[in-house]
Amino acid sequence: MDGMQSEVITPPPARQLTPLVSLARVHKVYGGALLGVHALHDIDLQLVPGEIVSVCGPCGSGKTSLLNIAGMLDTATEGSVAVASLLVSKLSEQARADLRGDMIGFVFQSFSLIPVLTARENVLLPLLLRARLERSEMAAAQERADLLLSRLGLAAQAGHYPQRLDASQSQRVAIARALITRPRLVIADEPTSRLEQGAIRQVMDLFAQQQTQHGTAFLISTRDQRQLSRATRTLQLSEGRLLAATTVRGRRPIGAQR
Amino acid sequence: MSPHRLAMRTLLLGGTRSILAILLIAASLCVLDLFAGHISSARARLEYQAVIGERLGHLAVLRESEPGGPPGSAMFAPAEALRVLQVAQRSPGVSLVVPQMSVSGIASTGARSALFFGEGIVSTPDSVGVAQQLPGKLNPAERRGIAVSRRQANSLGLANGSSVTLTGASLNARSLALEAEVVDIYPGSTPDGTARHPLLMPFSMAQTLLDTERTERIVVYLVDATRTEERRGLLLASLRAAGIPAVVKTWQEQSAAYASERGASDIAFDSVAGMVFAVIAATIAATLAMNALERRREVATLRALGMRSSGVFIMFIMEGLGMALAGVTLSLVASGLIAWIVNRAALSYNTGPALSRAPMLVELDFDRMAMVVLSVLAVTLLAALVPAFKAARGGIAPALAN
Repeated sequence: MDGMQSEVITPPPARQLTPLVSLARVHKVYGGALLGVHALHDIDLQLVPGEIVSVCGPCGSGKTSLLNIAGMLDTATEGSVAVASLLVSKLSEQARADLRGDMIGFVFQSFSLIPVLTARENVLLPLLLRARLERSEMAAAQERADLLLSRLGLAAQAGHYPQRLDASQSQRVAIARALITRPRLVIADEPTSRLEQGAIRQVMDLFAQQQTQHGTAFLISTRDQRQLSRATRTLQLSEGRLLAATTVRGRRPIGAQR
Repeated sequence: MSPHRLAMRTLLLGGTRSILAILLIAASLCVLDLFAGHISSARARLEYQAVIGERLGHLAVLRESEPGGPPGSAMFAPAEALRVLQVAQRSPGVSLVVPQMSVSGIASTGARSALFFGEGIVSTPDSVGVAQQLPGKLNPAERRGIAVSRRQANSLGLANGSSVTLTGASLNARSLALEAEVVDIYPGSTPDGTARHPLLMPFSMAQTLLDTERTERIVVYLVDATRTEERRGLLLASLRAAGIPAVVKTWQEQSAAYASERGASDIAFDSVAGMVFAVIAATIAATLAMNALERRREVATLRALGMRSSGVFIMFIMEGLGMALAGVTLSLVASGLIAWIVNRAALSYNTGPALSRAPMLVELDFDRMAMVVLSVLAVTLLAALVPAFKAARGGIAPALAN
């Protein structure tokens, strides 16, 4: 795998760290038990701080369903899901919204930028939704938003509305938005699908920096080999089943290195 | 970013649908405001006609009496009338106090006859405030002098100096006739044929025709017509304190034309308002429902990023209210502008069977407009509830995949 040595292992990586997300025997069925589509079968997954977990598999393999359930955007039909040691099924809609806002950054496959906000405002949005910021906090947040946009090559587009951004720029804005809160977990659905080579490298560097500096964990759905090469663990999904979990030798979660 | 700010931003940068909704709300409210303004203008004319033209005054003091009492018991005895005059003149905010008698009968010139509705009045010098505006002038030196409206003069073929015989029924049902001479022909205060323009005669002549020394009513003109109700209360209290058995009626209670117009225009306004509010409610509900449907992914994104369902709910409610407020603001500006143009254009319209013309004037009725604004906001709130609730309740993942 991109010149890295790898081996297939079954136990979760870094047992000494408290999982950020824990899925146990999760099933997801769309459209009813009898005639429904079984999107996920008996999935077990634990994600610890500082991990970069890639989820790969063909279209319809259940990648997005897995990400949605891990990010509390959807509920499991069976099994249990815990986020930050809290059982999601026991949480109210309000508590789930708060938990998402506090600890998870999302990069959606279709970017999902808010059309009435500029690129900078879109990046700031998760912060602004969390709480009313003091003037000094706002200035710092704007500085950080500009820095992120600049790191992603979008300094000149900060004041542009999404209609004026192309797909690559929109995707980078969505990535900056996911990182603005310094979340403990970033869930990204094909975050580099519309990016060119140079931009992909910028994004992966940024992810690596977040992982190193803030212990951010990443759960990334991708078909891009370059991303797989940066992962600490790769999950292979097929028809909703977890076929294999591959840990790249020499790459471990940041917290686990101590 | 609060849901309110997001809602306002969406409205400001929103699509054609929101702008069309705002324009529709503004146009509907503008129609309602102008209609209310026209009603207000028509009522102001009726008020003038009733208070001044028909000499009803703002208030009338009548003697309190049992129904079916002896003839004249509903009138003030001379001493009572004098006391009422004194009490009324001392009452605050009063401009003019005059005794009046209503009398009706047949006016005949020998060649033509017609029914008349007359008022026995006391001549007042023009220097006394409101007296300048009162139509018809009697000559105090001419005890038989009467004033008739131009309409009545035309129907009887009267001119200044013409003689006419007035026949009336006394309180005791005796027929009495008096010779009178026309000393003034006055124009009606409103051009339409429905207004009542009384035949004016000296107060003593009316008493003679009715064969009584009593006074039917004391008419009070106020300095500030807007305080009519308040002044009525004060005057009544003063009369009661003086031991005078009296009732005080406002001009609205006495004017049949006003009561009839008020009832008709209230029904018309309520009907139009009901339709306008229904249009606004449907517009708001449809616009928000379509917005919610089209923005499912956007809403799901906001919720994924941490916005609570309540935030989404508030956002859509605020969008609805924002649309309504924008429509209201636009309608106020448009109403003011159109009212100004209509008033400047001096338009008129046909009234009644006589096909005489009345001026088309719009006096914006700010009280009614304020009520309309409050009602629109309430209607908007109700109309926005269901779409906002639906927008806040959908699943996040399916919407993101949409």
